Amino acid sequence: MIRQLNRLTVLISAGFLLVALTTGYWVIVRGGDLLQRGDNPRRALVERRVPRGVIYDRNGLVLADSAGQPGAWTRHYPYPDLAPVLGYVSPLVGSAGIEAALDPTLHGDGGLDPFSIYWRTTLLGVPPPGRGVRLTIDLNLQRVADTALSAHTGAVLLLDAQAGEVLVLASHPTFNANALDDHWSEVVNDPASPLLNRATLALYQPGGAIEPVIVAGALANGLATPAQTFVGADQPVAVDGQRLACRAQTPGSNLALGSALALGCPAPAAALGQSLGAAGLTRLFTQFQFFAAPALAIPAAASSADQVSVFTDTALAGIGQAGLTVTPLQMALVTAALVRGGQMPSPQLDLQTQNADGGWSGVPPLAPQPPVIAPAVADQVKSMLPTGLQAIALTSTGGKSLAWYLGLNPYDKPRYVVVVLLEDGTPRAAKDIGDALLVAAR
Amino acid sequence: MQREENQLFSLSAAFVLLAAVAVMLAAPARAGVWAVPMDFSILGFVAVWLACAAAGAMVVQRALPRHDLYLLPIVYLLSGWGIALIWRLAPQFAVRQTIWLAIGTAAMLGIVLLPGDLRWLRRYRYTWLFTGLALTALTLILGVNPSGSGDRLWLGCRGLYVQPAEILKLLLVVFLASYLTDRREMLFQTRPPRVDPMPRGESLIYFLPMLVMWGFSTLILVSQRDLGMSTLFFGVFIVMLYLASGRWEYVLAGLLLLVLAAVIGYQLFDVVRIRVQGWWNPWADPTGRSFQIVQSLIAQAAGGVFGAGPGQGAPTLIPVAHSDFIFAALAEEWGLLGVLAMTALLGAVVLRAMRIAAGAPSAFGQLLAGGLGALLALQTLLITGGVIKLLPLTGLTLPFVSYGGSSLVSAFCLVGVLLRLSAMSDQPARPEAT
Repeated sequence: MIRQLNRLTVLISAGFLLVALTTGYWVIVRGGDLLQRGDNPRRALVERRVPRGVIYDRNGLVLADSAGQPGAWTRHYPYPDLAPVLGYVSPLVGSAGIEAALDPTLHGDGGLDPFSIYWRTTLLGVPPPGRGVRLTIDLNLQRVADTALSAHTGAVLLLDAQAGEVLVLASHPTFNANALDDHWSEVVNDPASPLLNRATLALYQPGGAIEPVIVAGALANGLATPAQTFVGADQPVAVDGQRLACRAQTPGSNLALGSALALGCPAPAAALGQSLGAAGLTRLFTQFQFFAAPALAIPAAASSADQVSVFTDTALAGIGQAGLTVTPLQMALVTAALVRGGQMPSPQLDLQTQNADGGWSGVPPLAPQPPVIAPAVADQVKSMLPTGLQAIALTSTGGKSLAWYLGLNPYDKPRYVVVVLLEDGTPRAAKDIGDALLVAAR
Repeated sequence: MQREENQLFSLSAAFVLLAAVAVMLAAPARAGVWAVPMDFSILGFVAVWLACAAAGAMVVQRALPRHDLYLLPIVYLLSGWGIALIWRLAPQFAVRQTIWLAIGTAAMLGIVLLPGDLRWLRRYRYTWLFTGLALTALTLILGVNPSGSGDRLWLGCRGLYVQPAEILKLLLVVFLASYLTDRREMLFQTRPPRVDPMPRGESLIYFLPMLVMWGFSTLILVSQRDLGMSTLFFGVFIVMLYLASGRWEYVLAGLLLLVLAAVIGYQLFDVVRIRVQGWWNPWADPTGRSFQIVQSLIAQAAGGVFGAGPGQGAPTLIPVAHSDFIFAALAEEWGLLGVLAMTALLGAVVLRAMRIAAGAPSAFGQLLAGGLGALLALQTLLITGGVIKLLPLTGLTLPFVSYGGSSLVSAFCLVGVLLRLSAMSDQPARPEAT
């Protein structure tokens, strides 16, 4: 029996060795990707012991900090309506928004060499402390926007057209990230989709808001001139069985391009869409970056270029009722490009980050992009929307319409561009919100 | 000789005390300040542990002067480490585990102090087997689950719960050792029969009672959905058959039977299907059925080589970390080094059992010690293998370490028998039975 016992001993030892090797495999070989998993809350749990970095607005007002006491820090948002920008961070439900995008800095390990992290975490038992960030958001203006938008479903964006800095980003309805763990299923299952950032991620029918782009395309291609008069400009256009007419009372049937744009008459833009043709429209929209998601710190969406096939109806494409859908952020960038000589700014949300030594350093500005349209054409389009543009977009869901407002201020050398989108309001209401914000920003 | 054992005991005591102080200091360490309420109860549990270890050492040293010197310090180190881990993971269970440690120590000393040699174990084999089977069968009727829901594998009385299968597994090894020793010659024809050669076909008859016993015990467990115990029983059965016969055919046939049982179980029982699917591809359902195993693997990764430190990780994210998944909790807080240390200690207990088996004076002793060693080894491999996704998960305890009263008492009884056998091995060898 001794021989059997010896063989059994060898076999069992091999088994124990295999257990040790397999654990080593999970720890050493697979450790990295296992810890990256979304269902590993340890990274967020550490922040109960070591406070996470503070998020400030551009003027140094606190937007997010850690409250409580050592060992039981919790994330606190003094101004909950900013949740579409700030997002949330929780061991239970993960993270989103700026909290997710700038996590390496806020958590405190970004940019540190692995050895010092290892030293602090393993030997001292204390991970590196979180570091602060400063956003481009202006909390005072944000309050104005949220108050004005409060009763609506929609989004407001205020952009510094010169610097590309996002001063205001509001999306309603929103959620309270302070108590998200308790209300998570409620928030997720809310039919009003409060977690959806309507300013950067929701793709809307642009409707009349696309017309400045169409006009710019037509002018650049010599298909129209600014002074050109359109005969029968007040005629309605049929869209999926609905009739899209002028938004305001017209003085007559023949209108100049600028007047048609201002009065919201769709016929001229539909005609220009047909003149541009499917290929021309696709080229134009590509030129204006409609198929590229803006490079913002938080996630942003864009239409897919594969939907080009939808532009078979070029007249509808000309009035923003065909396949192209846009986010309010994209409309803000396009408007900014048109009012500053064709130069589209790079949108920015993070202004400064704190270094490991406590000092602050600015986020390097992005390289300027080539103009999306000739400066002369951009200036001609700008002259057609002196007080901003109100527009309607019809949606496929039973006669529901969207209201857009694109505004700018000051007119001579526009610094602020505002975009308002309401899912449940009139263009007039959108204009009131936008103008209130422009006045506050002045 | 006993000085060496006492030195090992000192090392064990130093380690357990260190572990206890480390988990006790975890609360202020986590907060980063001293001004937090501290729970000193762990020191009381360590004191009880120390008393158990000291009593165990003293009684065993008197009663069995020539016992194996390594077994006791190692198993007490493991159980003390286990108490520190349980106190950190589920403090409410630490007091029970400590009480069970005292009961386990008493049971072990009872076996050590029983007069005579272990012949009575061999002689009344059917008594032992039927007692174990009857107790296990009783759980079919009176079974409860202390946590209120789940598999009803326990017998309960006034807040004290016993899992009969833990006792049955020891009695099964005793029975198999006794039965196989007596029938070895006839069953396996190790040498030509002295009297009329028996036709080969008839030797099957001798197999029959054993197969029936095994089938019955497995049936009881399968009907209770205790996958871990069933697999363990069958594994021990195969190993002991091999030890007695030395034939690989039995191992091969046994493994084929195991695969067959797994295939049938996969078709018939949800619990088998869930475990196998969760083992093969846990990533398919990481928040549902595979939550435990995925969290276990993440915990191991989070531990790294050196671990997060006692009380510094988050192993309580794994459901029932203090019982089946204590190995993963160990990996997170004590790191790969802790895992290697514990695996080595458990391996050392098994190796000592094999050594005792090799030195046992009789075939019965060899088979008994070898069977008990195999039982420990298989249980350890099944549960650690399950926790690290090497094998499908079978709910078993990690011997000496996991929370579980019956398991701890049964493990200490096993050590008691091994100590008795080890004390005999150096005595003048008696003529072998075969």
